[in-house]
Amino acid sequence: MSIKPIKSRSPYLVTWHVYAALFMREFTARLTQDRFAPVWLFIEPILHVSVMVAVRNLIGRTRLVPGADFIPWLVVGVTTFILFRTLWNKGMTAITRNRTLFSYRQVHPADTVVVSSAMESKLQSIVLLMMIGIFTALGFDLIPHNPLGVMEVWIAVGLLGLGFALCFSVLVTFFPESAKIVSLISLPLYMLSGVIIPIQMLPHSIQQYLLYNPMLHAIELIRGDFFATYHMVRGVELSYVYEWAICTILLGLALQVRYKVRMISR
Amino acid sequence: MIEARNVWKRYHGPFGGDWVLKGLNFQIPRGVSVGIVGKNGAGKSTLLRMIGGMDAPDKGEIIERCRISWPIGLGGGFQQSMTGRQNVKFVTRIQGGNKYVDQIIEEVQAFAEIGKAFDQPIATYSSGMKSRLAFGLSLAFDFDVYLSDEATAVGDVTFKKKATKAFKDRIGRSSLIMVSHQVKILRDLCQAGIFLHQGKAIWYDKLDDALDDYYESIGQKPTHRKKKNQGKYAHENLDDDED
Repeated sequence: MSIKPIKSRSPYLVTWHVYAALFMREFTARLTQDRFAPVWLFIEPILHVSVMVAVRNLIGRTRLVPGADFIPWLVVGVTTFILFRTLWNKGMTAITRNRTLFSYRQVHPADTVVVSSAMESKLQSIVLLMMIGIFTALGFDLIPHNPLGVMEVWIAVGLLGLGFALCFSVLVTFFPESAKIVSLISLPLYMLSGVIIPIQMLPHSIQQYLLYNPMLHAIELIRGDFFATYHMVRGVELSYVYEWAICTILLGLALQVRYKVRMISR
Repeated sequence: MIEARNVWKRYHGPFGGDWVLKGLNFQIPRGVSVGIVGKNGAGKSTLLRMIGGMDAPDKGEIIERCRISWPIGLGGGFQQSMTGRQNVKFVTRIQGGNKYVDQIIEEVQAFAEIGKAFDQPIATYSSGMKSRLAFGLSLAFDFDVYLSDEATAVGDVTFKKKATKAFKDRIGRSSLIMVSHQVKILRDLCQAGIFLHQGKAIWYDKLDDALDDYYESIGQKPTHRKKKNQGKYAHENLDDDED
């Protein structure tokens, strides 16, 4: 009457099955959340960017950015930062949200974080393409001058977000209060990454400290790849972003291995 | 075969915790169904969770050389906004049954008998419907060992019978590890017994002996009538108020 079990799967195949199943589940869950969900998925980030652009355009004073138009410059920065922030925030809570799934022994806590990050980065990539489409149609110059470079930075930001998600998900699972602190520091980080204020305007003595922030590097670099004439902040490097990404991912994976049993049994 | 080697377990609460299980040693042979008995808080559910891989011992190890189910009837993994069908598909994919999705859906549907609700979100289900679905889902897969934590106690009378029958059909192919306070069900489905007492596990080849010692430890006589049939725990000798 019941089916024959598959004899035994290799660990890699099990992981692949879990990833595929979780991905489809997460996606269906997002789409069936409420009636508005399928639209909201894309409208939300677009609205966010539009509001930022509108506010900044109406009340901002410094509209002069060296080597780029102000609005496309802002759109690229905000979209890139949102990719990072969404990966971080959603991935951070993935373990808590999916706690009940750990009764299936194939599902590990790290899987939920990885899948959540993969899905969010897919959605955000679609958002980026939509932004390029919308703003180009509105007459702004938002066609990347170096598309491969854009992809390279975009992937780096995705990996950085994954690394942060892996580390912080362990923290948030044991100390739920820390989620509040994370949302608290994400606003200053928004400012310090040069998303809405051009860092070039700041004195060099401040710049050299701001350059410790990998998101500043990423955002400047992706702008440099979008606009041919853009003058990036001096000292930004792609390898710095990748170093951060690799270190946080490795640290995150180590934490996931160390605390796996305690996270499952909570 | 499942083997526990010097298994110790304590709770890591905010106030520390005492050892609940203090060095368990036992072997459950292939094909033998076991009932776990003991007082409340003796660690029965904890032991079951550890066998199911949802928890790990603090010391010692549990060696498993077979496919073990998740605790039967555990509907925890259901996503509220998704339909029953979508949830069944998800679990099937995790278990690696991609090729058999249709077959499993059919089987779960037949077992759960929840009709049209199968295509409606889990959030609209009653608790009985949820446990029917969860139960059907566990039984749709062929495991060597099923775990059950008071799970047969759910649902109405006809469903209870169906569940018990489903277990009986599987004897020979698969076995069962069961935590329950209902002597009738234990007696129906299990041959051997484990009695958890003061942090130790005592293995009994016969469930009746485990029940004897369990009742002795709580200072009660089992509520059975005068001997009519083979043993004092036989079905006919038990009072109905047992469950």
